[in-house]
Amino acid sequence: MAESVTKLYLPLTTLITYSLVLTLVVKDLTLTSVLTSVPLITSYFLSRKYFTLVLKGLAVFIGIYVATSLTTQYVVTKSLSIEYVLTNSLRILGITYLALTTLRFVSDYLVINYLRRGSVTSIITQLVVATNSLRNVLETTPELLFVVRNNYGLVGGLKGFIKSYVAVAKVATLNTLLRVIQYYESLITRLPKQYRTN
Amino acid sequence: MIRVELRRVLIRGEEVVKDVSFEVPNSEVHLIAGPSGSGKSLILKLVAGLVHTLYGGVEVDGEVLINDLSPKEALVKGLVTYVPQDLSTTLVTKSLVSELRALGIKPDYGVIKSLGIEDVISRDFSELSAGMKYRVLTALVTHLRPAALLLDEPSTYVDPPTLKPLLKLLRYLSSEYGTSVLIADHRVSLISKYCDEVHYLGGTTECCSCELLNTSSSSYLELRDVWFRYSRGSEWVIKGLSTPYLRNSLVCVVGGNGSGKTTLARLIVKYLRPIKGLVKVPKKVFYVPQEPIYWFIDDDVLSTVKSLSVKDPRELIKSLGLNPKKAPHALSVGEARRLGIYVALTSGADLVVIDEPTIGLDEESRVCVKELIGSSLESGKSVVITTHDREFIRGLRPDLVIDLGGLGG
Repeated sequence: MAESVTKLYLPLTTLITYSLVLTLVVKDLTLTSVLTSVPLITSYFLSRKYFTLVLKGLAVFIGIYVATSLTTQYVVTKSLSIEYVLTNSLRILGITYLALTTLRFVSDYLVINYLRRGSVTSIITQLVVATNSLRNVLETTPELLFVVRNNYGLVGGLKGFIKSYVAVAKVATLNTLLRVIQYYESLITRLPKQYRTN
Repeated sequence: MIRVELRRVLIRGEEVVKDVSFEVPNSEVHLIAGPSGSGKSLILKLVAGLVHTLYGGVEVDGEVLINDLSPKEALVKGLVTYVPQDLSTTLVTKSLVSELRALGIKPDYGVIKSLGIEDVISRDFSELSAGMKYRVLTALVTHLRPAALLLDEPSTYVDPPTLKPLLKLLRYLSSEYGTSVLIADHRVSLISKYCDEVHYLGGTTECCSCELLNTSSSSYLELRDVWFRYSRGSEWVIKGLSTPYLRNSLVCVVGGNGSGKTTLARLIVKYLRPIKGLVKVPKKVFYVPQEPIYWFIDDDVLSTVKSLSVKDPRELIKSLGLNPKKAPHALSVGEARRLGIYVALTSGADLVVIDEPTIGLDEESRVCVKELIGSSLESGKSVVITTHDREFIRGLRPDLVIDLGGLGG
């Protein structure tokens, strides 16, 4: 129990503080960089696989953010403030990652400590099912993309690139639905009786 | 006690199971055997109460009882536990140890030791190999001491040296706690000796006599001092592996659960890049991964076969015994795997890499896949297969066997 409390509250307090500091106080690029990188590096050692996965998703998002932000600035003010954009990018990176890590700690804590007592509501159980299924699909998506592009010969050219991504989005969606059912099938027969009602 | 009496089961109007009846008394271990798509997994799901709970469009004419209760009642009362075939499932928490703690169960180290999973009980479940996942799940469900325990295709993922203690454990569990154990598996010869009774489901498998596309003349493979590990500081998975320069050859990679077979397959197809060394393969490589099982992008089986460039789509589908209009995601694991393997071996690729070709394959399909591997070698291809099943490579006469260890003699 003590281990779980430490596991939950220590990172949680740190993460909330970091989020607040980053959002409200810091305007300086260097400090924002330091404040973002410390929890990211810590998380990297906690779960490298999870870290890489989230970073990949965020990299795409931030790429789009940086491009649109710079374009908007240039169109509106005819000038560019790279520092402003970079500070915001780091904030987005840090806060999103911290939020996800917090969610993970909270759900782990709830499940480990309350599952057997029947205090975890079915909504949380279903949320765990959904997030785990999504995580599983996201983890297998790079290999799926590789297999689709390779086996269907969708390599090279913009058309092949677009077609492969559209196809993978479709297959990954179907796989997610299938995973949710399969995960639930396996889980429902392992949960304590109070969760086996529907 | 499990009692199954099914006259027929229809899924969206299509008959999947017909005239199946058997009983699994307390303290007995039974096996349901039959070809891919014969309804083995469906029967397990019916017994587990999952079909009545989760699925629509299923019509059941007959009765299933567990300790005289309907499957749904038995599920709600916590009498049934099920280990699925598809291991995309995860635990609610991170590891076996934390899952047992969440359920308020003290780990039984006798069970853990007998399954050879002492080193992985605290490790993140999602990072384990498929075989290890199956063993961890089996350990977890045996801790629950259910009245009815159902296991779908244990031989698919668990290597033979571990399958034996796993089956012995199930026997012990059934005799000690009166559990009725029902296993669905196609490896009758391997599993039946640990079972009190075997129930066969009907259905036949027809081998493919379809015409194969010829490859170009560049079917080769060479590995030169290949080293790979997943992250700095972690253990090397592949250590300085080299092969001769092979042309139009069959290479079999064998090894136990977690020995690095899938990693090597990923290196050969260039999904992963070696940290050191060189992988030389032709441009046209076809890869059938172990996971994801469903990677087909078309809406039905016929379109899938056509777009993967096989010469004779109708003949191939006929030999697979599939409905050409069926959606690939609606296929069973065994059917989807066979579809993937068949299109790979009949395609125009120069090199075909199949990770664990025996997943979901019944005895007859295994013979058919072996025949097809032979034909594709004759058409000029090179083929690489990774497997934990030494028996499968017997009779294939590979040009090279790469043994990654963990399987014993």
